[in-house]
Amino acid sequence: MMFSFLVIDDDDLDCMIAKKFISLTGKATEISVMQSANEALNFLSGFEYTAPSFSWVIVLDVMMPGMDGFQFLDEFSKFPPSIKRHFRIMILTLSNDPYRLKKLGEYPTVSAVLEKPITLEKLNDTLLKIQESVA
Amino acid sequence: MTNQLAVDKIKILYLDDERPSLNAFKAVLREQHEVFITTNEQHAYELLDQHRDIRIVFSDQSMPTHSGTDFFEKISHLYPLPIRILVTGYNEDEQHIIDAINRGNIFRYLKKPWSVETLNRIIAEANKSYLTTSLLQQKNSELTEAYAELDKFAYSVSHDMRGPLAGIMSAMQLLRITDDPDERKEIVEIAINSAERLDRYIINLHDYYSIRRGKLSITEIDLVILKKELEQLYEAMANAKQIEFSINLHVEEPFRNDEMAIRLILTNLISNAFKYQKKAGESKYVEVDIEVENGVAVFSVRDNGIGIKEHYLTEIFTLFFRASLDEAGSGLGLYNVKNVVEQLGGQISVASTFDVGSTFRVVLPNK
Repeated sequence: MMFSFLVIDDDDLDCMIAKKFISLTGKATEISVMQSANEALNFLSGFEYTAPSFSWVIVLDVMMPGMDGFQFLDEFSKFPPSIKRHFRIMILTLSNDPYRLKKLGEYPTVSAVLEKPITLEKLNDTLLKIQESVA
Repeated sequence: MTNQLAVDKIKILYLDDERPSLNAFKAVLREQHEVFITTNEQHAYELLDQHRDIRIVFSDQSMPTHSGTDFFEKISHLYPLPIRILVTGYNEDEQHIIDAINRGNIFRYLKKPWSVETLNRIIAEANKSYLTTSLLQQKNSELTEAYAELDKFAYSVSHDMRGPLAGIMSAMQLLRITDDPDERKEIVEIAINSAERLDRYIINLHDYYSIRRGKLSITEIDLVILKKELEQLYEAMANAKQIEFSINLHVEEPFRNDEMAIRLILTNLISNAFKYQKKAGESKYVEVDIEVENGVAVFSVRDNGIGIKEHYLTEIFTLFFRASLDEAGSGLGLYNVKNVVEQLGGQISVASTFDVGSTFRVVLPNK
């Protein structure tokens, strides 16, 4: 299964790294990068969805200045199901704080949490998990 | 401490239904202290409310409408800080005093008729107890604040150090599975950038601690030499980024200050001015003015860079705040600058227009 990716991370180096690893999985049809949650929300709300069902994976950083990952998730959950069904969200975080991870797990829109540093193995596993959750 | 007790005018409140007792009390103490007297319980509350710095409260035990114990029990909840002292009649029932100690949580009791000597001794002891308690409370809230900052600090530090480190680890992983030479070059660039970021962060962190711990050492600073050093320091960056860099000196008197602190202020502000430039700007500049006259030093750092959005202006000096996502920042730099400026008894201000440029202005007393 192939996906379109949307990477949301304020850090340009992290974006570059995520992009490289995603392309190495061989599962990306396209990779978009947004450096703020606001930008991503604008993109999502103005987007024309041509694909019939789920085909996008959002890779989301949690700690961002301005709107952080949690606030993005809150906003995202307000989108109508007709939009939401196109997306699965993968959290990319440095945090190993159990409280934070638990809080993230409570969002129904979050399909997986990947702890930084990112590796190809971790990314492949996570994508497989997302794929299985759809099927 | 004893000296301070003698010098300080202590605010004292005395509630009693007998006017003569009140008057005698005030007559003895009014030279040394600020004394409030009243026969009315309600009025006593009002006084406590108006004068939050009342340190000692005396109250008679047997009053027609209520007992001193009841009064103390109430104010121990409403106004817990002042020290409570019960004044008792000659034949006071022992049970009343025990009650006052248990319910009213009183510090001492004073038996009528009292001697001036006893009264003064009790006041001195009460004042000492008040000061100790207040000091403890103040230390306590300072400590709570410090803990909160430490929590925030520990979290941010681990996040900001692990971030670049994770970048380096991932880049190395990538390098292992990438063959294309151009891509490998790009990945090495990522690793170097991450390492530099980590290094910058640690330098800032070090600054942060030396500011908080550091004692200032005031010496005469040769601004001509400092100007030369700064020009050399930023020459490469100015050339690479095509930015006009100039420092103007207007020095009318010798400048005395802490040299480390001045360097920290200037390098942070100048580095920011270089960093937050427009990517495609034309005739970019960073201008520094240093003026020393009439016992005041003014440093201005001006640029025509990206500027700061108005709603961020009040927050830019906050610990770990970052207004721009375009450049790597630790959120420590301006916080450090502000801290140092305040330690030197100076002020920092910023004027900025988004997309036009910023001017940071630091005013310091010449020591």
